[in-house]
Amino acid sequence: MNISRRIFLSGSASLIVSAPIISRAFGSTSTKKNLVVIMLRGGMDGLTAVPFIGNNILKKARPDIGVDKPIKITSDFALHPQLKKFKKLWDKNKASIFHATSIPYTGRSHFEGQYLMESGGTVPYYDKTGWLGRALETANKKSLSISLPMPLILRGGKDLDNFMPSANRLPSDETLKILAADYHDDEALSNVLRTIRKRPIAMMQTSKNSSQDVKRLAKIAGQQLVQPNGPSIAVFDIAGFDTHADQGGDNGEHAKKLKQFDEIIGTLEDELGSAFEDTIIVSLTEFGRTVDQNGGSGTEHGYGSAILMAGGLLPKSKIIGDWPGLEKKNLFEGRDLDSSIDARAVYASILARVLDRDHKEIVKNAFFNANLPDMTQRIFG
Amino acid sequence: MKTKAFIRRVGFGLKPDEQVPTNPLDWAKEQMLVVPKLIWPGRIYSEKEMLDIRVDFTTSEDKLQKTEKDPSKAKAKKRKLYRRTGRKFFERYELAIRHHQAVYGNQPVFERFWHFWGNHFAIVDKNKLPVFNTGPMQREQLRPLMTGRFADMVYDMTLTWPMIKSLDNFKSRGPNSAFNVNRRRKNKPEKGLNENHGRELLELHTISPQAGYTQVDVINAAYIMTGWGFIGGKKGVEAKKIGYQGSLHEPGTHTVLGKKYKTEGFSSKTKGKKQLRNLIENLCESEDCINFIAWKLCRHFICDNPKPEMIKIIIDAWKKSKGMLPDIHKAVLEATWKYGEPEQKFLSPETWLIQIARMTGADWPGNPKIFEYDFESRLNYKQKKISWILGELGHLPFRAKQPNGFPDTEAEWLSQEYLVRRIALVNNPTQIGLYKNSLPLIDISKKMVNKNFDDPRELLGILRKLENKNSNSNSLIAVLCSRKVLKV
Repeated sequence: MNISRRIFLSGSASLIVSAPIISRAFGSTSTKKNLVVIMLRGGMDGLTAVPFIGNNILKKARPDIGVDKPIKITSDFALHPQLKKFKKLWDKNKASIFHATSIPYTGRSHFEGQYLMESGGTVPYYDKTGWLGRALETANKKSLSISLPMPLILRGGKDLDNFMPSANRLPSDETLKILAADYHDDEALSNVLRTIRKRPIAMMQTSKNSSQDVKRLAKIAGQQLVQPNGPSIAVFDIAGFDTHADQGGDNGEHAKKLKQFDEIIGTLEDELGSAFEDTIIVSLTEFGRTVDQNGGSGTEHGYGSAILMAGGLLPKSKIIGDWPGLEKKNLFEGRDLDSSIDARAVYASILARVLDRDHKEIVKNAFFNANLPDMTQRIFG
Repeated sequence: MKTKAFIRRVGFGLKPDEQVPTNPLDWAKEQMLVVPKLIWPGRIYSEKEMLDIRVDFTTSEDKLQKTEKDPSKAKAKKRKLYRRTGRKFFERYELAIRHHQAVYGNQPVFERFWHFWGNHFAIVDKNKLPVFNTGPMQREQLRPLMTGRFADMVYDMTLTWPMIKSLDNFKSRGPNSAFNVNRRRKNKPEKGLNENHGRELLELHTISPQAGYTQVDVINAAYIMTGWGFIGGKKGVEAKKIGYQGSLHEPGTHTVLGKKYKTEGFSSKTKGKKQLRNLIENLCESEDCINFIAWKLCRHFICDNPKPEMIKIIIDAWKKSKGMLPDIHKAVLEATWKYGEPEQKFLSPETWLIQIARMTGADWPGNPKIFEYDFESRLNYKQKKISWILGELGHLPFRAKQPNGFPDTEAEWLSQEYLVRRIALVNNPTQIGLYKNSLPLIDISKKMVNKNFDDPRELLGILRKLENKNSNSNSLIAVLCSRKVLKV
């Protein structure tokens, strides 16, 4: 990788001064816990990622797109063969799956669903902040989104930054100061520029390599998360799970996307080293997909999916959830895997654990006091 | 609104030598009456030519993968194939045509609306559609539709090649169509419905989920769409024609939002064909559609949270004209003129880029001659940079990740990384065709501010402070990345 400095050192003196100085003497570094949320846009098919193998129903429903070589993990469930790193973590008691779950949205629109999976509310396009952002508002933790936009899920939080490697160089801080003066009466622009000026040198580096390979992005996130004063929250955004046609089975479109998810997890494990023990990674999607394959060897928008979790904060590997079954009578509206638990309950319990907060407080701050049962025991017990 | 702010809001600002219109509202409205000719002096490839080139590429690539097993030979042959078919050339060429038109054309307001509709009917980045097809389709099919009826625009855009390809309707067949009845008779598994396009027709292109349709409505819309797809294809070769095949259509009456669509026609080939036209006509005249599109236009041109009184101006014009786009567009301009201030819009990266190029007189996207390509050599930097820069800014217009296109609000476009990229781009002004050896950049900045701001004093004040500091590109950053240019 061809790296040059995005900023001239001579111009960065004020950067160093304005950067927050947290001394190691405070000894807060050892308890820093990390949360990584990987958003899977388009509707991740929980039945492809973690197929039910307890009977033949799924196989029959999907003659052309079934998973032929599932990796059996329990008598009833298997993993998709592309989830290799995830399987390794499963074997080390560092991976779990919450199956048959969804955000409380049944409208099957991507864009409404994606909005709600990030806002944490129940009315599309209504809340202007995200559940993670609201949970972080008083948490005094930094977050980093590996994306060009600031995703809705983080909005409302403090100390937010986002990043993607880029080739052009910023001007000196002297120049940025001119803009800062110009932006002074615009809160949004001021906040954004303030974070830019405080960025660590590592994030000021430029790169001629324009590849947005997920491993590379995960490496960047890992390098930041591992810093004692760095972010504790990271968000990834992968699109392309909407496989209405040619979904594939062991290989193909959905498999390719699951592989990217798996590569992020594997890379983060490598980069974080011992900090992986204090980390939890979770997936998030807008809905699952129909049990039956459709006319184009794909699947349609559905309801229940799965949440994949990995990291040292998990005490043991297990499949959690109340499996509703795939028999026609058990399907949501006769076509989709049902959701037996509001996915927000899972995220609330994970947040409570990572942020060391009371579950009730998280539900109040992040999820509008929704009726979400405490899942702490089921996930972390 | 004030004159110059309005020109930046609905157009791309004024060129250095452009006259300030005496009546800006009329100036803008007149631009919506006639489809401007493309001013690009180079060759314009027809959509059909581009489909031929695409099919040549996909067929040759497929053949190459099957026949050439030696990796190094395969690599060399692939490179040759890429160059011969313009695999890396055409998207950049289309972008250059689009930007040349916006920067140098005389109907910039029309171009803004063209960009809006292109994004409304976004084609996702898959199957090499941005490489060969999306740009040509927008230029050849979408542009001329902008002076007609909205319903005709929806109907024709629904049946464009890239739309049918990207939303999978060519793979959708009625479960009880002649095709599937026949398959069942032969004990072959059914090849059934694909809901993708039917859903997006309702959700994105016409009525939006606000209309309250159900899953049953979506399935019925998808039934109505069955039969529309590619025709005349040969095995292993992509078909180039969109058409209707009655044998794939789901027979019977289909109900969408309470309205019944009967099977009309007698010939088995065309039976059911008219259902789609009838559905789209009904969708487009519904209150839900008019409200949704009027709101979306207001959000694009006036503010992120449009108020009812703004939207009403467009709804009234829509109803009065029975959905004629020139009237709708003129109403959008009137509403913007009336309510555009004190509201502000944070410009999308592409609009901002075109705007700063047009206002500064930058050599952007470069002399059309540099885009002459021999289909043999490697692309040079000048040919490549347009897509590289738009990619850096996060806004390659033919590469929407999802069919809802690119976003349209400040919350979506203002982030640390997006802003870093705009500042870093202007920090290297030669990239956008502003050369230090021409006019001093500070003079360009001053000229641009005087020309394009109703009250230039604040920005001129900033420039005055920089004058003595020998900071040429600083002056550009201070102006082009200023709040007043980012937000109009």
